Amino acid sequence: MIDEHLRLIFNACNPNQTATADNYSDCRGARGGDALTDQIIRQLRMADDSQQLRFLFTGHIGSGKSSELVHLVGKLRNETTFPIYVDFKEYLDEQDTRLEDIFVALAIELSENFRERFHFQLEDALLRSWYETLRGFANGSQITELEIGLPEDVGKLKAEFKQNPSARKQLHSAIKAGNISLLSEFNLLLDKANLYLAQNTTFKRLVLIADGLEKIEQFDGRSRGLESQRQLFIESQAQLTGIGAHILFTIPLFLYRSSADAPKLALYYGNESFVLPMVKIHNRGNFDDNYQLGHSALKAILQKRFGRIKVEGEGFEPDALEHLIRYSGGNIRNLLRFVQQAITYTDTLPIKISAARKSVGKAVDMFAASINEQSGHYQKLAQLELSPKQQIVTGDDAYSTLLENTTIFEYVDGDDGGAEEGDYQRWYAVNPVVRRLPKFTEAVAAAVALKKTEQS
Amino acid sequence: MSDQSNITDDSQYDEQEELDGLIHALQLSQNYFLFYACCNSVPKQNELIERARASFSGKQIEVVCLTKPTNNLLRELRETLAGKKPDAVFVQGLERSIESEGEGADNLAVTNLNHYRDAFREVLSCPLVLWLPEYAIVKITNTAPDFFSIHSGIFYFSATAEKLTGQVFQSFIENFKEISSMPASEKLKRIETLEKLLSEYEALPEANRNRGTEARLNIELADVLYSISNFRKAIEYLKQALKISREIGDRLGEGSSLSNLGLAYRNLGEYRKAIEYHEQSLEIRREIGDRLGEGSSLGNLGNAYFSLGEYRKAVEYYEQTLEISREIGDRLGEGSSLNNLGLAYHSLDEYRKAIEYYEQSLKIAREIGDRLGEGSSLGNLGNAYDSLGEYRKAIEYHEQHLEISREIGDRLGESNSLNNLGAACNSLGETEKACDLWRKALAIYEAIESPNAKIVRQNLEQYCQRE
Repeated sequence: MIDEHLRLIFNACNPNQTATADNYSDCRGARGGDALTDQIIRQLRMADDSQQLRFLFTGHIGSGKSSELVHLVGKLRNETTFPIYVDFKEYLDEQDTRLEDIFVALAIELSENFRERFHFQLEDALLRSWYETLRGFANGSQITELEIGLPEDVGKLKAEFKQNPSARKQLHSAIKAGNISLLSEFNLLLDKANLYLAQNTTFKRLVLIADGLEKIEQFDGRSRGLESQRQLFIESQAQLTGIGAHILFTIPLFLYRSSADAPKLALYYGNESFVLPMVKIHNRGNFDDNYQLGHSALKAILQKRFGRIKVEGEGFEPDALEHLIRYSGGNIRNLLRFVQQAITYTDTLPIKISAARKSVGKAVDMFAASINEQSGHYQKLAQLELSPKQQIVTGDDAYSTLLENTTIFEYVDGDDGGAEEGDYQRWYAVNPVVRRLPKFTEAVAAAVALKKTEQS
Repeated sequence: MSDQSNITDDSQYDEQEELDGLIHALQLSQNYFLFYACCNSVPKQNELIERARASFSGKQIEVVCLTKPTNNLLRELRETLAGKKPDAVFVQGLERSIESEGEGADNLAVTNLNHYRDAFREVLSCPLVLWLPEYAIVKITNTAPDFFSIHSGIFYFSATAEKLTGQVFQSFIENFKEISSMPASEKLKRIETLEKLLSEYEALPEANRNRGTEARLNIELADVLYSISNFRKAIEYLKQALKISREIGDRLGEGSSLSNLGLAYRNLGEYRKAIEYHEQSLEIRREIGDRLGEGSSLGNLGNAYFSLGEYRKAVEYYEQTLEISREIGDRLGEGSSLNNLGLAYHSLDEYRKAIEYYEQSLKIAREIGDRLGEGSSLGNLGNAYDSLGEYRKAIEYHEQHLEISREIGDRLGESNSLNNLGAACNSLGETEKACDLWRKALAIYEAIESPNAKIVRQNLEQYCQRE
């Protein structure tokens, strides 16, 4: 028989689930103080009618970006700006993504949101023409009479668009052949939406929240990764920034940290960018100097998921909980994964230190096999470990890679966080799991020895 | 708590505990969760999956075996699972898709895993376990860290127990290099010559016989016989040599004979007997200050303990040997020590460390023209890559080893490399080819009375049709 408590917490700690309103936990104190939601809401309130705000949002894998955005959407319900949240992960696949796809997805979600929230069908010639094209293609070019304005149309368009890549290609060419400016058409749709809001609801404006664009691998025929992301956010910026509504984009950390691209991003998208750091669990430069606020925040996250089972006491032996938190480095997804793996070695609560050790050991082994020695990554890690202010060389692509694959974590000191005046608020640390690797220790020792030789 | 805790202690995974953990995870999951089962050998995977089925009682596990590369796992699953409601889904063979694709961000199979990561939930309402060799999991972590970060557990299963049958030891025989590197035909000619010489010598009247030369001839003959893996016959001559050395008080010769007897017995699988001989030779060599010999005996003791599965003890001996050979500039011994350290770490499942040692040893063997050592190091590199699940790479190394073994008439090396090639092919699912190779290996093992014959027979029985 499986212990029911064990089953409950195992299923509650899904690392692949965005936090809901029920289990979202505010970690702002340990993330540098000011919360993303507060800042965005403040700015939206202050914006006058002619102003269009653009926000960029980035952060580590698993740091909780989507959870923050979903939380923002919830908060905005009480404001005068109506949020349209688009989870682009739902729309993307291995196909080369085009700008058309992004606009179609935005239009679909806009229309759906209006239908669900206001029971209002946006009069959308654009969507209709797309649907006709898609259906015509899917049904072997037999265009049947459309039931215009029925709510399921958008649903059908969405389903077809998501599941039928060849139909999507057809749509691309149809849009191109139509020779219309997609941006102007889309802005027309936005105008209609804004008009409806102003006339019929308590909301005044729209804000589009585009989550997941950083996950696009290939865009507009460019090679995968950085080139494609550059093509999207920098080369195509005129289209993105031309959208007639407040808008937030999630962008990849490697683009945001690239020395060539960062100034352009700031220029095109204004200065409204946010980086979600790790939850700070220890103070700068000292892994043993616990930052209690961060520990409490992570415990609170677990408590939300554990429900009536007390995390401290019932859930874990004290050592076991400390062990998992310490090695999570403040990465929430890692922590949840560690908890799940530890549960697989547990028959009854509380989770014991031996299970916690095994769980972390798995991560250590995986990093041991995956860190690229040839590229000198251990030397880069040693350099960071020994840097007095825990800084990395900005613009060094190796560091971008290491940030991207969570070998290095980024933290921000809040007002109370020990940042002295004139100090960098932002600092970095080697993932505590990686610090356990003998190769890392050796690289640090070698770097120390080298320094001594240089000095003498 | 120390950050510098010993990683090897963490990486020793108990098979039953890991399997229990996996079953436990399946029982706990009330919806779609993603797990990895890391196991480098497909036959081993099959065995574990059968055991998992038996333990996951009353529940249905759907095993999806991908025989061809696919760059869209989700689509495959949607098609295969249509209308089915299993309690867990296992996927085998995904590594084919991962290895057939390009590096980095261009690997479409991995890219798709990442893109569809949320869609798996819509297709599956039960846990999904991806059975993969380690290198494929590493490739996922490096290519799609985001996708990798969402798994709920990983379980490690070692595949070494079944595979390391044909390990290639390097023994510590003095002056053996010249003999072992000879072409096979040369060796046979030499045996003939030596036998003739020895019988002529024995026919001489007592007064005209030089006992020292007689002992030396016996040892030389034994060496050549040893080099063609005729251990029984080698033992006969060695015992004769030992007798003579004791009679004439030749301590150096006595040490050599004892040492070589130990080697021959080890090759016949009589490890305790081998240890006794090596300990006797070590004592004599220390007495007379024969540093080279001392190193050999220590190394051979390491080998014997290795064969008994006492790897930590073996490492201790090998390290002593390495130190001595470096001290006295014995390159051959240095190479052998490095090779054998590699083997010991290999057996402790520390493959990367093993590869580092093998590569050092290969370099030395090539530098000093030690063909036997070169072959051994190549074969062992093959085994290490096999353990990492990189079978194609393994095959390349084994083929090089096979070629050298045949060139120099090293029958043991030849059969070992055939056996190892068979294991690699079997892991790639090329069973027919594997069986053919094993049969060839078995024929040689039987001819030279190697204990490895038993293991190959087991493999043949398990995987191959009777001929």
